[in-house]
Amino acid sequence: MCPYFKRLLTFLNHIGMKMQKRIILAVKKSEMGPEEDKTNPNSKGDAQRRADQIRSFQVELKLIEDEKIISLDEGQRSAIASYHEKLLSHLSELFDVDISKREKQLSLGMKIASFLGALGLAASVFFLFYQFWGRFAPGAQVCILIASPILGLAVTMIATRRERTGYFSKLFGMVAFACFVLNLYMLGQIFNITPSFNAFLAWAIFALILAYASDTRLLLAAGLICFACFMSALAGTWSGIYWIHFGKRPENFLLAAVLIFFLPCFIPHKKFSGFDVIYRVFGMIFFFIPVLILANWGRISYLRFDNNAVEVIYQIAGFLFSALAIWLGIRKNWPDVINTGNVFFVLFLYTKFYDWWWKWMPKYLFFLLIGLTAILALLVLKRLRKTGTHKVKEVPE
Amino acid sequence: MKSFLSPPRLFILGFVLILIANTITLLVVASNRSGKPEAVIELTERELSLPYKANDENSGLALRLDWRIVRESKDDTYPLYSRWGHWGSPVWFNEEKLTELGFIIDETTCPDEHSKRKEPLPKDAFIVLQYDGEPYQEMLQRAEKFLNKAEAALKANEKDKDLQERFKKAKDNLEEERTSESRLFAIDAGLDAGKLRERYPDRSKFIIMRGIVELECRSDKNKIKAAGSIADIRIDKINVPLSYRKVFDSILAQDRPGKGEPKNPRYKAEVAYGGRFEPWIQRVDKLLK
Repeated sequence: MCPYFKRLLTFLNHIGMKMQKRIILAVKKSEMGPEEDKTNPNSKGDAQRRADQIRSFQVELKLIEDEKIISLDEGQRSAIASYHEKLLSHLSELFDVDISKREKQLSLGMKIASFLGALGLAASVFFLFYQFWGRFAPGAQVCILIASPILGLAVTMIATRRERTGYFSKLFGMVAFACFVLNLYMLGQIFNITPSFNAFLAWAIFALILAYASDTRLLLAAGLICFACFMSALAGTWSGIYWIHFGKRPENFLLAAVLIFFLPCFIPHKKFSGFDVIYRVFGMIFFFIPVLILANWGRISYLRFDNNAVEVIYQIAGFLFSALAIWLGIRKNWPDVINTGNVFFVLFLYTKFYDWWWKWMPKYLFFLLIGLTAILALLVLKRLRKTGTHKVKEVPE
Repeated sequence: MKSFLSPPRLFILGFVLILIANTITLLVVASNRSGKPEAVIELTERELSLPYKANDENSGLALRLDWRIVRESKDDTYPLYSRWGHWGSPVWFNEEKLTELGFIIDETTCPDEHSKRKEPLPKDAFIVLQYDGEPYQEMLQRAEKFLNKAEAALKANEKDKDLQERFKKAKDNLEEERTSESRLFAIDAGLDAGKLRERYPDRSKFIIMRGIVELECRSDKNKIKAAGSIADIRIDKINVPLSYRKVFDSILAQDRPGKGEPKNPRYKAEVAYGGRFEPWIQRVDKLLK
């Protein structure tokens, strides 16, 4: 038999075995009860929620027993305790979750320190290069610039492998991103290159790569900002604008906003803690800020109507879409969308109040109206909350 | 999703991205500098100025390209505001030129009603800069006329302090125009660099650069008219490589000329523009006092 044909058969056999294995795994998973599957959370966020749930259960159980509502015998108690102990150690091993209150407090401190450290180190890289780059010949400058993001990425990779908490990998990830931004920006300066918006695409991809590799929301946010800038510049060039001026027509951001908002609906992010929230919140920011600007400055719109008409259109759009966002948030159980929608609804409302009343109304009356509308909003939300509670009571678990 | 986005694969992608982005950038530089330069021009400190203030945090050095425009002057004088910079509309940048550059000029472009007026969008274009040509001579003549007028007015009323001040300023302006002001003027714009080069073939006097042009609505005799302006040129700072730093370091170590002292240029530089209209310094010489 021809050796190539033999190889092909072996290859096909290998693929067949792999597929068989995957099917068996999938069947096993589907046979596994939902209770069993819950012990394997997808992300650190899920694992932390489970650990918190166990802690709350333990505290509540103690209270119930103290009140003598139920009383577990020693065997039941030790069975629950040993199950929880095993589960917590499993979660701790996999995701390094905070098991005690003290650990949680320290963890928050570490998160803040890691964030500040990342910003500080990233800024330091910029200034360090600026301080000395003039003393190097162009060849050395290029080598340093290319080597720095490679080194940053390598250190992030090592930190991701070696350290389970992820604080250091996040920190080095930010530094690697800063190095890459510096790399392309400074090459442009050294060789007097015409600025191009494609640099934003390269930065966006790099930030997203780092964000997914090190599970870092800060880098995801940086990537989304770069991506929005790229998309807006691209949209601007379609209408013949020189790309740097993409901000002159805020509508350029709308396409990027829609893409970013709906992306997590098509690509699930269960394995990454809080990524879908970042996508949705940034999508809304990139949508509502341009709408808010256009609701006040119709002269910078693409729409060829009278400026006042354009402003009215965007004011209506602002109210409509922020109310729609609140509705969608309630329906899909997305607190982040509800809160962002609320913030922008209030912003649209208050900018309108300012337009209508600030000039002709005495200030005490203006602020009184602001206060009264806030009370009205409180009453509406309270009513909504009550309706929600009643519904929960009606629906049996 | 998870297997595709596994950290090891992502890190490999990251390394590949760094290499691709840098390779593309360096290829862009190579393509600009390969072959015969688009233009090679010798400029002095008048056109390529040093930063006004040294930055202790930045060891790099870039020269700023100072270019000017000839604005419309109804009484042929040399108004002080028109001496510097490139804001406003050059005399040649009329409605016809705007249409040539792709701007739509109709009744909706500059409507009388303010509420209908839209913020104009800047566009990409090639700008032609002329070195030491007719526009510079025009500005010299305007400065001389301004001085003659100021002198005549002072002779008629010698004790008037305002006129004395005006005469002194006009004299200083002429001196500065002769010795230190930039002789690089924007003289044309177009969408086709090739056609512009055919029109301005002297590659040692005319530079073609990428720039940004804008439409402005200006009121003229109670009527709103469209006029063009050059918002900017894309590369107005040219990096100084280490090999030329010695000349500039010795110049920067000297004190700047004080008020009233002659401000003759202290260096000249040969600048080349490549196929992508991006510049680089080819030679720097110190000028003797």
